[in-house]
Amino acid sequence: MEEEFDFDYADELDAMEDFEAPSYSPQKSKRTLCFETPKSKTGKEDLNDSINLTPLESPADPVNGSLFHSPSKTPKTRLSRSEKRGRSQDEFTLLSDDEDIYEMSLPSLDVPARKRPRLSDAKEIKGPDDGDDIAPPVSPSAEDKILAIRTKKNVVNGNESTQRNITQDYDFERKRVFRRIPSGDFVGTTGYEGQKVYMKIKDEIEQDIEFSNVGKSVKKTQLLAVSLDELKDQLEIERQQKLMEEAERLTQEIHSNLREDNLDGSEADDEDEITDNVQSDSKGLLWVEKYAPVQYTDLLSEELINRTLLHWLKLWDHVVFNKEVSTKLKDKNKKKGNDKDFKKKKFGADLLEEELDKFNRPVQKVALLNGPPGLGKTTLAHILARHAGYNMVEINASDDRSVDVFKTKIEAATQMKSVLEADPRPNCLVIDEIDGAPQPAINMLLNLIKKTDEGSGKKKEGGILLRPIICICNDQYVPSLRLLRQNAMVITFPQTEPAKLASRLYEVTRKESLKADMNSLLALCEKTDNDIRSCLNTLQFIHRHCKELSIRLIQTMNVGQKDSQRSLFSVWNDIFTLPRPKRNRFLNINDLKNEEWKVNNTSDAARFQNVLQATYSSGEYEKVIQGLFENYLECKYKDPKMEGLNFALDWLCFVDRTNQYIAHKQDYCLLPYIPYVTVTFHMLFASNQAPRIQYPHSQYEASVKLTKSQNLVTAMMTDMIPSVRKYLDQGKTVLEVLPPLMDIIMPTLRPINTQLYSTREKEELAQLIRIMIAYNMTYLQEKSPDGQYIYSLDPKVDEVVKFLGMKQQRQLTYAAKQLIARETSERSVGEEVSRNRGGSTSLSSSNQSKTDEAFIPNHKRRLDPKAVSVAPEEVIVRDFFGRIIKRKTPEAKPKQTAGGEEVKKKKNVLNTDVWFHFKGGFSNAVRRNVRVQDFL
Amino acid sequence: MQIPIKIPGGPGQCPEWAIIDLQGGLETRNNVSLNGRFMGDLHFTHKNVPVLIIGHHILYGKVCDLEKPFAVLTKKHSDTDNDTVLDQDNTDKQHTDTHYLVKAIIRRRLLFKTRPKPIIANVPKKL
Amino acid sequence: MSLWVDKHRPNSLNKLDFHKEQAAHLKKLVNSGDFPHLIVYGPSGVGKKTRIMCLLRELYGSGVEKLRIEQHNFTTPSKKKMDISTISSNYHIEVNPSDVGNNDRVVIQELIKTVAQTNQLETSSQKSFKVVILTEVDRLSVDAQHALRRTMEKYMATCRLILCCNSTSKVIPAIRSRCLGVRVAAPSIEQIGQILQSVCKKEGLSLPLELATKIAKKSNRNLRRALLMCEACRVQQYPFRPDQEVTEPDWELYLKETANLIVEQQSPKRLLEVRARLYELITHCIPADVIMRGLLQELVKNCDGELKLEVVQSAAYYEHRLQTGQKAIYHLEAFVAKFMAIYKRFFEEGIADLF
Repeated sequence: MEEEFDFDYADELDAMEDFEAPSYSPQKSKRTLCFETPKSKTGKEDLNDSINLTPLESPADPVNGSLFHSPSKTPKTRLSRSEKRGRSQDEFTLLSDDEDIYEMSLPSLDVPARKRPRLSDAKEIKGPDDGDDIAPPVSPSAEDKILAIRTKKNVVNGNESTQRNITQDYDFERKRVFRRIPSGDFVGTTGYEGQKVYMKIKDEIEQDIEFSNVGKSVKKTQLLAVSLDELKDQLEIERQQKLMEEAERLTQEIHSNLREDNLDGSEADDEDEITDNVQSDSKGLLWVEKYAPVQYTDLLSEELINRTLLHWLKLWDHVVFNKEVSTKLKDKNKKKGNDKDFKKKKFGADLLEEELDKFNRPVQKVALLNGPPGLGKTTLAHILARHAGYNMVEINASDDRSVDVFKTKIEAATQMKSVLEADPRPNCLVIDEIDGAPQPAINMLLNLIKKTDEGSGKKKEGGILLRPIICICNDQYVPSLRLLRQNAMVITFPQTEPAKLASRLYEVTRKESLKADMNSLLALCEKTDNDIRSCLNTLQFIHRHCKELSIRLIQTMNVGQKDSQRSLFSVWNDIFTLPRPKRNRFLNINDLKNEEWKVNNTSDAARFQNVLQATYSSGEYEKVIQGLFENYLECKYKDPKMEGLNFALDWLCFVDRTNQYIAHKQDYCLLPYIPYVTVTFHMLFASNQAPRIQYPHSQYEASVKLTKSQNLVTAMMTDMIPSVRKYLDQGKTVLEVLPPLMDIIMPTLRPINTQLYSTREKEELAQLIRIMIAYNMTYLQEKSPDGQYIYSLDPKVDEVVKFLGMKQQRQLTYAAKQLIARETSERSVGEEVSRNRGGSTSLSSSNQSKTDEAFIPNHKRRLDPKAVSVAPEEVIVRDFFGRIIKRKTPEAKPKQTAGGEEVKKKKNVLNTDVWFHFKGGFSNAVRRNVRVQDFL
Repeated sequence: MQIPIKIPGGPGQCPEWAIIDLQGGLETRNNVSLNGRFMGDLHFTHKNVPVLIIGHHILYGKVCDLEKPFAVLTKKHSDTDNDTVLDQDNTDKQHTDTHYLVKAIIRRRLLFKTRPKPIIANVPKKL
Repeated sequence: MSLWVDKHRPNSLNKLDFHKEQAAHLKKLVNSGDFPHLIVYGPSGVGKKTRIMCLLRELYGSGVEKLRIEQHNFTTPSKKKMDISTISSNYHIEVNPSDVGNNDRVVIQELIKTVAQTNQLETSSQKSFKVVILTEVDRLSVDAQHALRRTMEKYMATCRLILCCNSTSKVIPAIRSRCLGVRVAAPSIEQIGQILQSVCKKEGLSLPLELATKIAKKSNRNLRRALLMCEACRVQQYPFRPDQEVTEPDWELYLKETANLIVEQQSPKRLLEVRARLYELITHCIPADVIMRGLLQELVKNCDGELKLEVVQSAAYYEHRLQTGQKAIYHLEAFVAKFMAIYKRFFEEGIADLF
């Protein structure tokens, strides 16, 4: 089993080992020299480092020296520095035959120097400094050594060697100079560029170790640039140092504890002074910053998650760094690559290496970290990216995230490598708070991810994602993230274990000399929902006031309670269920006064608070209340007199009225009263067993239906005849007119040919059709789901009138509806005409009305295609009389009748051959000269 | 040279005619000549607007007074009274006897210059 | 013009069937050629609009009967576009500002201004003013009513307003004082019966007196409803029989059923059922106050005298809240629950007394 585990996690373990050693160990930097991508890296880092060096040198400067609170330490520092320098020169001698590396590092050093004048400035300042630094003997032993080395070594280019020195120094200095506060004793100062830097104060033991190491390395003979032994040794040294630091820190802690104990005592010894200095130095810092994890092992988040993300990052190594880079890693990966299928492809390709193209990226190009705030997502991303050798580029909600800006940023981060900046490491993009980003921006990101998939093999084309992207969000179910979620490796952060968190907090309190016991810390964790950030903030807050953290303090404190979003369902559940008895950790301060605070959380006051908090945290009062309304009747509770119901409903009414007031007056001062309704419901209806809560949708459904009905009625009303419409409004239509109208328009029609109707029946039919037209109703043919053709009322106002479960109204037969539909569509066109002609509109005159129709100007005729399409069918259905064929002719060929119409009219109406030819615009009249003779 | 113009009867007995001024022409169907044909109906509305109905067209016009009144003359020969008005070639020689008879005086014309409207049968005329 | 309601609607003040005295007054008022702003109020279906149209006809002649529907567009200050349709003739324009809900103020301001600012073209032949009819004034928001009061005075020269509403209680006093109030009371059942019979006579039908009274009673003294019901009866069955059944609107029946359900059983479960039915009613465009009233009428029937008071009081209480609230369903349900509680308590007390 163990073996298997080792096998499985070999590379992670390996990686972790890497991290335990400081990330910028000489070993590593040597390796990076062989990289293809970060070739210039070393040089730049050196430069970067040389900037950091400046403050180190500054103690020699009398002005800067005053910054140091304990000048006694300064010589020590300088001593160690010069020693190191000596050592590094040793190394240089050893390496000097290896010209390649030397050559490589030099030009790369020049590049940034040219591009950044400021940097070169720094160098200029540095040059003499270094010289000064090395020249005067500081400590006899060190000086001796340096001199010895110097004589041994043939210094050809003094200048170069200085530079070389810097190059080599970097490795050692790196861990001396911190941007964050290191553990253990340290001295803070302002760096060259104005940033705050810290240096560790070291013991002599460490120096001894270093010295011994120097000796060792000198003695070694080696063929390789960096021998394996040396690497090992260095690793060893690092470990030892670590141990030492740890020990140192522990002693510090002990000291501080001791000091704490006799805090009341009059005198503070030297050490206390230092601690005070430290504190005063770090006063400006938030604890959150101060105690932020800087190493993988410091992380509080769950191991599995850390490892997964790290692994994913490592998968990018192949694309980001070159192949040779992490042979060790790769080998390990190769061994176990088959086990994890999402890596298969990558490692399969890896074997072929040179031939295959560079697209050996992990399948999921994006990692999506999600979880509630304060679990250390951002920290994790930062630390891992840094440790995996990336340069962090962060985009968060504070940046402009419009599509364009977002795009340029992403492209800048993923496509380019920083040349100008000090840090040449490849970028790793961290998009923080992505759940707040606009949808288009996220789509853009998606496109970027997808584009790479298609465009394999065209690296030059650009737009190919070659850098890892880590997205961080609080809510992965934000709609805009839906697609991204499918394409990303989603890592959900669970809550940090309270015990783990509390122990970390305990460490912090110890360090900050704040008295606290585990219990109170646990209480704090619970109160903040295991939010590391708010825990630390709270602690710091308390620290300012008093030196002791008691459980009582935490319970009564108002800060630290998180204002987090909670899902609606959890809120409803809280409201409808009685809380389980549980030790109460926070109470209202009022309860304390009443000495009731020892009562558990099932007390009324606590319940009140809890439910109120839950409601606050959901934020969507409207929804919450709607959910209450739709679910409360399902609850099991005892209320024989239904008084509770009344009470609850009164509250609902109150809330509704308040809402109305707020909406109407835009006056939000009443809003705070609304959440209390949930408390009422909780007190009334909460039971031990949570009811099955359903999402409230009936209100929404009702409003949809209502709109539909209203639209139907409006549609009907808009095209009514004005003289009818005038006397109606929507309410009256629905309440008074429509119900009887539905009956009226469904008379009994004999199912026979209309030709056989009596005059009375014909008159009735005509009447019906007039009603239909006046009220803008007709029948439309529709295909029912089961494939049958039916005629339904249009607009379907019958839906508005009919109620579920009521007596079904009599329906007209299909044929009758068809008949009505045809008649209405015909008549609505000729409505004006037929109305003016008075009574002769009955069906017997339908032939005549056809001819009437023929006289209607052509532009109107186009309005009734329905008549043509329905009628022929109609004729076939009903026809066994000859006359109908006659009727059909004018219907089916309206154009022809229009032609023949003139002939008919000529005979009937105005029987004349003469016609008038109008000549618009001009007259043909001619004036002619006439001679008088003509008159004679 | 004098051309005598005679007014039959007394000065007050001369009939007064009116010109119908049409914007357009009268045409016939089937190449029938216009002669002696029934042309159409002329009505006056109660507002004294002339309405002319020709075929299936209805024309609305207006009554205008002429600046100078016209007289409608008929040419007469003293010797041969039965000469037609249009027989001008004959009259050339016996010009001395020629005289004109006033048939009617025209002081007004009925001007129909608007586009005619079609008549749709069975639709009451919009007046 | 085909339903009896429309066909036999009187079109002049002389022909009105009831409140003839009032009609005569109106005629006198108009005959002077001018009249003040009017507010015509009374229950639904008593012929308010009919009266207004008769009045206008008296004033302007038959030209007012040439109606057209127009769509007007408005833009609110918040750049929201609204449509409202008006019915107008050359002499008047009728609009229902409450169609646009909360934005009625804009309609009032813009529409009336445009109408009022355009003078009539031929003042010689026409009246110098136009008439604006505003319907459902009682549904106007207070803002709109305030907007109205200034408009009424400002454009007195060019327009007259006729306001039409069911009750003046929701019209602000400022407006009420600027108008001449004309109350149109509901016709009595006998009057309705007579009208029904005369209409049937005109249609060539004979309506038995019993049926006429029956319809009149069912119509709640609403003439429109009575006529429609009568016509529905005619369609269902002719010749009429005195004991013929008069169909009531579905929603009324449904409401009655709902009330019965409430009386039958009082439990949260039943309340849930009732809620579903209330939703059903609301979605069928039945206004909440109508539901409330209908429920109350049915419920009260099942109560003892003492209980009646309490029920009616609570109904009044909840209806008032309903008017000031947004979500009708809460208030309706609250009323139902309240009734259930009252009824249950009463019932249990009754049982307790027995033992």
